[in-house]
Formats: sequence, structure tokens, C-alpha cells
Amino acid sequence: MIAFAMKSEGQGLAQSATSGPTSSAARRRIDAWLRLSADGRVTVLTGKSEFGQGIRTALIQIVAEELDVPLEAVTVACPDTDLSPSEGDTSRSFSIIESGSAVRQAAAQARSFLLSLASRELRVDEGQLTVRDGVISDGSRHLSYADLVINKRIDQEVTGHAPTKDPLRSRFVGKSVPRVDIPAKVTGGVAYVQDLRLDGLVHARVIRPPIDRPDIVLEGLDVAGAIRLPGVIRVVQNGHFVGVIAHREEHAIVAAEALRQSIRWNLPELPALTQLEEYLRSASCVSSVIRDDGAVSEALATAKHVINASYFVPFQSHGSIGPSCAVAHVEGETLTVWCSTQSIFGLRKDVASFFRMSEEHVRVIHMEGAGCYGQNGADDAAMDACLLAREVPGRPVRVQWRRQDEFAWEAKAPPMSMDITAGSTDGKIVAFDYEYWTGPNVSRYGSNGSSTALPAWHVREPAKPFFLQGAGSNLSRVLANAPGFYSFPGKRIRQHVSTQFVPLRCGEMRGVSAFGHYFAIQATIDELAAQEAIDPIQFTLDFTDDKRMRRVIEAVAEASHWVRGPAPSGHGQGFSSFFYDRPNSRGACVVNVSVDQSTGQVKVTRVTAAFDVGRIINPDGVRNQMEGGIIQAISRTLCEEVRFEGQAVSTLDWGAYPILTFADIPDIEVILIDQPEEPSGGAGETQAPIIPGAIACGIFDALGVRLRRIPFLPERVKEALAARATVSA
Amino acid sequence: MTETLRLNVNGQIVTVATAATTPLLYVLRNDCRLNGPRFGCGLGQCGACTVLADGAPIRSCIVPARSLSHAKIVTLEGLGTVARPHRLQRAFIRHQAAQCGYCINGMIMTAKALLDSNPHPTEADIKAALAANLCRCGTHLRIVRAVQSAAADTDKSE
Repeated sequence: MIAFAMKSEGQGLAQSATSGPTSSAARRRIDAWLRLSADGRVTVLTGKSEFGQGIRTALIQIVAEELDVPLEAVTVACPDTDLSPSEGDTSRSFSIIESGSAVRQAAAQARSFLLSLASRELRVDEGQLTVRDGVISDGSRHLSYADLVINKRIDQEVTGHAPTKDPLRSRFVGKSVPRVDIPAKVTGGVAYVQDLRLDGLVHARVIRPPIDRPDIVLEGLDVAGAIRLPGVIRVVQNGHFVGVIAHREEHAIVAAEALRQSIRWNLPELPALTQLEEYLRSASCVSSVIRDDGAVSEALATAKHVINASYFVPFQSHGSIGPSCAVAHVEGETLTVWCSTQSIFGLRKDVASFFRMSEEHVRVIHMEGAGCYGQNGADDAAMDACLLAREVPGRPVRVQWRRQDEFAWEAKAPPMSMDITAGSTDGKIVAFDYEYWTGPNVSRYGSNGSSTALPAWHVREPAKPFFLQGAGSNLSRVLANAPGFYSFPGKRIRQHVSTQFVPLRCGEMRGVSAFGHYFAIQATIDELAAQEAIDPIQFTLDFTDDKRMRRVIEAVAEASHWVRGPAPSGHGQGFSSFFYDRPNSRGACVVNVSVDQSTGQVKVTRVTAAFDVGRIINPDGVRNQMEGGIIQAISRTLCEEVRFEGQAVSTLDWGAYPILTFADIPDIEVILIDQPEEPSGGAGETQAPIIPGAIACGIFDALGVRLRRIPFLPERVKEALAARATVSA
Repeated sequence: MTETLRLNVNGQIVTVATAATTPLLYVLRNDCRLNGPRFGCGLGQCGACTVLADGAPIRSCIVPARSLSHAKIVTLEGLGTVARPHRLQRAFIRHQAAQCGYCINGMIMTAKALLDSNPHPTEADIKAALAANLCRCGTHLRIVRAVQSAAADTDKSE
């Protein structure tokens, strides 16, 4: 490795025609992942995006551990297509599994190689050498890593066989190392793409109707009026895409507002919100059978207890607290875009394909945005910036979405409608027939004339939106196929994923379809347990063979002082558990709810949760994610529903789309079961799926009614209470 | 109509030419090049843009810069630095009270105003003071603990 001066974080400097390693051969080299400089600093290259989940700090811990360097010596470069290895996208809670593994192997390989260099140089056996803080010693002589590599190239492959550190003797991994990004964030340092300031930067806004579909038609707008406004550089109209570029941000804001006043659209008429479920279930779709054990209907026919229910989850917003923002700059043949994409290489491909540029001429640099929780507007804002930057080559263009824009245009968590018929006999589940309808997740990333990005659907020569079938809709696979977690017979799972907008744009949101699945599944388990007069936790343990899952469940049962109340006292407890197969993480919780029966207001007063995510890199980081994910999921369960009316999304600000506030935050106890000798799992999405089911079960314990439609608004609680009163009257 | 404004920001006088209606936020971010106050909604609903004007928390995204020409404006940067943090900043770091961190400016500036008027707030006082500050990542519990910790931090290096 030649001594290497890193480009400063987040600032594109000289143009580059290079590209970060994308081929698997290129990614097998140590220097795809790590660079050492003459001053002993180590730079980690990763394709994974930081969005406040702490991945940057976790990678520093892993590298410092394996390389035996101080934490302070290690930094993580911003993902940059010119530099970083391609790692797909930052999703599915896979960052530690993929990037963590890769940098661990690379660092271990590097240490191994450096030791062999030192051994040769000092003419002693490797076994006689120790390493501490980047210095190799034989007891009397010392060589730093920088001494060894300066003026030498290292052309080493990561074999995957270099010895890694004993997890039970860690110096950094498994410790709650403070996050490296927090100090700047609390003192006003540069932290987000919103803070990027470049010479000659101009400001832009995009004007679209409050709807997120391709079938919008621009009928007219007053360009001349807008051009005359102070500071306006250009009004861009390309097909149905409209943007305005101005010198100062307030000029762009005023001009955009003027355009919004004059603009006329022809927009599709949307179905009524009350018809959403029917609309979803009758949409054109791809149907598949995930599993069929055969004779499920017969098993249900002979079961002693049978229950049959339908569940529903509406569209929900990611609700990033900072609306999407991106900066793009065309210089010569190169287009550079700074944004908070979850996939620098995926976006690069989409942008290059859309503009018919070669990928080498598109550079994507990740800078943090606010928390995204999945597919928010980041990639769309990036495409907006690219479109506008091409209109004013040489000038960096900054696009900032408004709050209303983020709510209207972001890809929303798709609605889900689920039917379950389940049966049990003598305390055991004998059949579980699950059928669900849900929306497509718009795929990332586009190719072959299609694009993920909304603006690309509106220009004169539009790209088609590309729907991905099945991904994210298929988390019922755990119910279907994960042995040891739902070890009962008679499963049939059928899925219908629509191939059209239903009627809004869908995108993955934290926990994906598991949020809905495990709401319905857990509520069903609870209901069967009640019919069997068996405690629901015991009932669950009876079909859970996986030892680690059992331990998580038992931990939470004990810590929560699990006691079911005599309904309808207004106070109750509910239980839920979830296994997320691919990131290999397990979670369970008990929630305590209190319901005000006169208003119907549900309050979660306490959550006790336990998680096993394999080997934990940073316990406090995981704890932070768990607490946060729990609160976010409570908010989604109690408060959140995207609404639309006429031709537009109508939930466009925080007044219309309230989220949980300080007034309603429960006490939360998180129990982490570390497994230092297991591989690391993924922590970020194990919370959402356990919350709605637990709250629903808690409401049943409190009131004796089952809510089956999210969100659990006060009026729905009151309706359920009234319905029960009518039945018993 | 462009006007020339003189503003007192973090103890410095800045001169800006902008329209009378321009919200303070854009002047602070673009002319003063400050990162503390953040654009969250432009509607005064989330609090990410909070700064102090003569010690009172205001939502800079909806307050015209012009109306603050006689006020002492303090932003997050004005409280302290990484090298010399205010006790609130110290507490937020100590308690790792951030996930994405985008809302934290509003939390700290609102808490500063709270501690100035109520040096020993209860948990309920803190939650009430922050009731109109939104956090989407769910960092609420840590934010409350950080404010409690700052309140108890008697090292008056502020």
C-alpha cells in the first residue's frame, strides 16, 4: 500500500474516471476495504450507508480490533462510487453481516501480512512478535505498520483464512464505544448532505402535485411570471417535470410557490380511502403459494377450536424528520451527486441508464440524511438534482424537498390485507391457513428503460416504474419455513402482490411486511391460546424449538412480571415474538397497555423486550436501535395512516400525520442476549414486527376486544367496545 | 423587496441582504453558514430549526429574519464546541442521545431555554417542554436522560 492521502469526506474534489471495486475479484483485495497512510491512520472503505444506526462506529471497532490499532486511528470514508467497494444496498439489516465481515477479514489479512513482513525484516519468527497500537515488536525492536508499508505496494488478497481475534478476548468489539458521528451532530458540525456547501451552489425546488404516480399530466403553468421573480435563474420544464433554480434559497422557495399557484394538472382520480382494502384485494397481482402442507382444510374441519379473522395495515410514511435533499454537479462529462441513498452503486446505475451516460461518468457520494427507515425520498431527490444540474452545467444544484413533498412523494410502506383461519386441538395448533394481499415494492434499481426514481417517470421520454415482485412481501417465509420457530403442522400460505399502484407508490419500510404479518400471526396465536385456556407465552414455547428463541422468550416473560389481567380492567399485557431469518435475529416483548375506555385512547406504559442478534459489536448502539425501533413501531401501531382523497395524498404535514411524542413514550427495558461466539446478526428491524401484535394482545387483555386494523385509533377502540356491548346485550 | 438586515448571531454582527419575509433559518444556514438549526418542516411543527432569541426558543423556519434585528440570537454553535462543549452537549454525548441526530438541535436548544428558567426540572417538566419537538428515530428516553444529566451537571463551563 502506497501512502495514500484520502480525499476529504463528502467533498468531491478532482474528477475521477475511476470506480470503486465492483467485481468480486476486485473486492477480494485488502485495499478494496482498507487503506493505511504514512501517519498510521487507517481508512475503512465500505459500501454501506450510515443513517444513524451506528454502522460507521461498529466498523471502526471491528477494524481496530483485528488490526490492533487504536480506535482513534481509524476512520470510515463516505461511500463513494469512485472509491468504495460495491456492497449492494444498506438494507435488510445486513450491514454488520456483509460489511462487518468483509472488513474483519480484510483487517485480519492485513495484520497477518504485516506480521510476515516484520518477521522477515527483523529476522525473527512471527511467533516472537507482538502487536499493539499499530506497532510490531520483538521485545526490543519496534516497527510501525507505516514503517513496513511505506513505499511498498501490497497486492494481497483476502483469503478469508487469516486468523481473527478471539471474541471472548475483545478489546473493542462488544464494547459500547461512543459513536464517532455524535459530537459533530450536537455541536453544529457538518453532518448531513443538507450541510454541503460548494462554491457557486444554486438552489432548486421541484413542483409536482401531491401524488407519487407516473400518470400525472401537466396542463399549464406560468413560466414567464416565475422567471421574472427575484433571483430566478431558470424554470425547467421537461414533459411533466417542473423545477425552478435560483441563486438564493428563499428565491427558489418563493418562485416554487408562485409556480404552484399557477400550475394546472390533470390527475388520476383515486379510489376512496374507505375502499382501499377492496381496491388492494381486487388489483391485478401475481399470486403464489409460499407453502402448502396439504389437507389444511381437512385439518381445520376436525380441529376443536377454529378461529377466522381478517387484519389490515394501511399505507404508512417513513416520515424522515429531515425531508430529502441532494446536490448534483455537472462538470465536463462527469455528473456527481451527493445524496443519502441506501445504495451508491444501485443509484449510479439507475442515473446512468436514465441519462444514457456511461457509469464511469456518474459519481455518487453518500452523505448522511435524516433517518430514512427504508425507501424514503433520497433517491428521488438525487434524480431531481441530476435532472436540474444538467440544465445548468458547471453549477452545483441543491434540491431540497419540502415537508409536504416528502409526505406526498416518498415511497410508502404498502398496505396489507390478511385472512387467517387457524385451528387447534388439545393445546396444539393443527392448522394455519394464511392468505394476504399487499402492494408491490418499487424496485431499486432501474434498468432497461425503467427507473426507481419518481422524476424519471414524468419527463418527456419517461422511464417506467419497475415493480419488484415478492421482495419484502415474503416475510411470511419464516412462518412457512423456519424450522424451530413455528413448529406446527398444517400450514398453508398464499400471497398476492399487486402489479399496479394500489393506488399509491410503495417502498420498503423498516421491518417490511413482517410488521403486518406478525401482527396478524401473533394475534391469532393469542386468540387460539385463549380458546385453549393456555397462557399465550406457554402456548408459543410449546411450538418453539429453537433454543435461542426460547431463551429470548423466557427472558422477557420473567423480566416483564407477566401477569394477564382480569378484563376489562383497562390495563393489560400482551406478548409477541419474532425471528428474522436472514439477519438471524430474534426478538420478543411484553407490552403493558392502559386504555381509557371513555375516549378509547390506548397508551403503552411499558415495554419489556429481549433480543438475540448474535455477536454484538456495540451494545449501546444496539440498545439505542432497539429502543428507537420499539418507539417507532408503537407510533405506527397507534397513530399512523397515510390518507388520500380525490386526486392527492392528504396527509402532508405532522398535523395530519401525527407520530408519538414525548407525552406518550413508555418506559422501555431492553435485554440484550449477547452471543459472542456466534456470527453477528442484524439488529435494525427486529423491533417493528413484535410491537403491533403485542399491543393488540395487550388491548384484548385490558378490554376483551380484539383490534384487527392498524392504527388502533381511539374511535376504533370505542367501536370495538360498542360492538362487544351490542353482542352481549 | 430586498432589505439589508443586521443580526446579532452568537455574539457576532452579520449583515445580510434579503427579502423582508425570508425566514431566519435560511439566513443562518446559507449566509452565516451555520449547521445547527435544521430544516425539518418549514411549518413550525417539528422544532428542528429551534434557535434562541433573547433566551427564548423560536422556530426559525417560520420567523422572518427581519423581526429579530434587535435580538441576541444564539444557535447550537453558540452554546459550545466539541473542544469546549456546553453541559447539554456534553450530556447528549455522554448518553449517546441521538440516532440519526437530525432533531437534536431542537432538543438541545429547547432544553437550554428550559434549564435557564427551571434549573431542576422533573422528568415531567422535561417531557412537557419537549412535547412539541418531534423525533422519528425514537430517541426520546435518552434525550430526557441527557437533559436530566445536564441539569445535574454543576460544572458551569457554559
